[in-house]
Amino acid sequence: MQPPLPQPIAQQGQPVQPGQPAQPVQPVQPVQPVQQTIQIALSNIETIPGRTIQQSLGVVSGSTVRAKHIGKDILAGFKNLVGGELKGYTELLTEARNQALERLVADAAARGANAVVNVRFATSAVAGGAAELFAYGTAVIVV
Amino acid sequence: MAEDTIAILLIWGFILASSLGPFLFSWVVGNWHQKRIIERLLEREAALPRDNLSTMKTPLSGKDITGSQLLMANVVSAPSHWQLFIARIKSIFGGNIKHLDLMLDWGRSESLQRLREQASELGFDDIINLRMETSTISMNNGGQKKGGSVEILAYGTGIKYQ
Repeated sequence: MQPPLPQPIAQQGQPVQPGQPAQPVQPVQPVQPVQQTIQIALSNIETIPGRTIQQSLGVVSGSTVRAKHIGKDILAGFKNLVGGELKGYTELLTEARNQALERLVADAAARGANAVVNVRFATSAVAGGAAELFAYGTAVIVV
Repeated sequence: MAEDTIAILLIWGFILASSLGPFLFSWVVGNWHQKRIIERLLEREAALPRDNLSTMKTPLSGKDITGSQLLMANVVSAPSHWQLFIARIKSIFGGNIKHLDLMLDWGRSESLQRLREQASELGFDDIINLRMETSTISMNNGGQKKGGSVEILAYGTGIKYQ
């Protein structure tokens, strides 16, 4: 059994059919925050395994530019005495990449997709000790 | 006179120690640290029963896939001051710089190993379509650029079988 995938958002907000009788007034449901309703499947390959792609919605992307503060640079300079891993930078880049992915997911959700396939990452160094982290992929509706 | 010579010797000793000290420290401690992290990585690699990474887009075992997720792991790996110093001297003559080879090799293997461990922790059986990416990290230290740090990112799609 496969877990149910969320319906595409464009189909959720359909207006009430004109032929149906008017619904009785119901108590107002609390509006859920957007982050909880968005569940977008990400993958690195052309498909989401076990599902079929119904429609393609174009390229979506998310990017973020991050710089280290000078204290971290100085600490990293000390760590360079020994060499090896610079853990502060590793954590910072992980956070930044997750933020880029969040923006990609938000872009996909705004188009009404429920999956993004073929996600790629790109990193480039911008002047002044900053790095740009970029993620892009194809937003699709899968069933 | 004897006090003067002692004072001059002390001053010269201080200057030598403050200029050469970091390099000597980085030579001794850096080499020890590098050996230790390589040994640890080899132990962790030996602990996993099989290699679950693959660069192919479809898994070789033709089983049905029930779940998938994008996984990624990264490492920022930096050379020590001693290694950078040796690299600068060697780059006058050109040729293979063994010290930086070791550093990058460790970084790549470490990021792959982190991806493997992440996959087995989250319950994924295999990772397909593994991709790796390397980028240099520019460090802006008071207007003076210090280089050599490299970020290595490995990412792929983790899959679960029935």
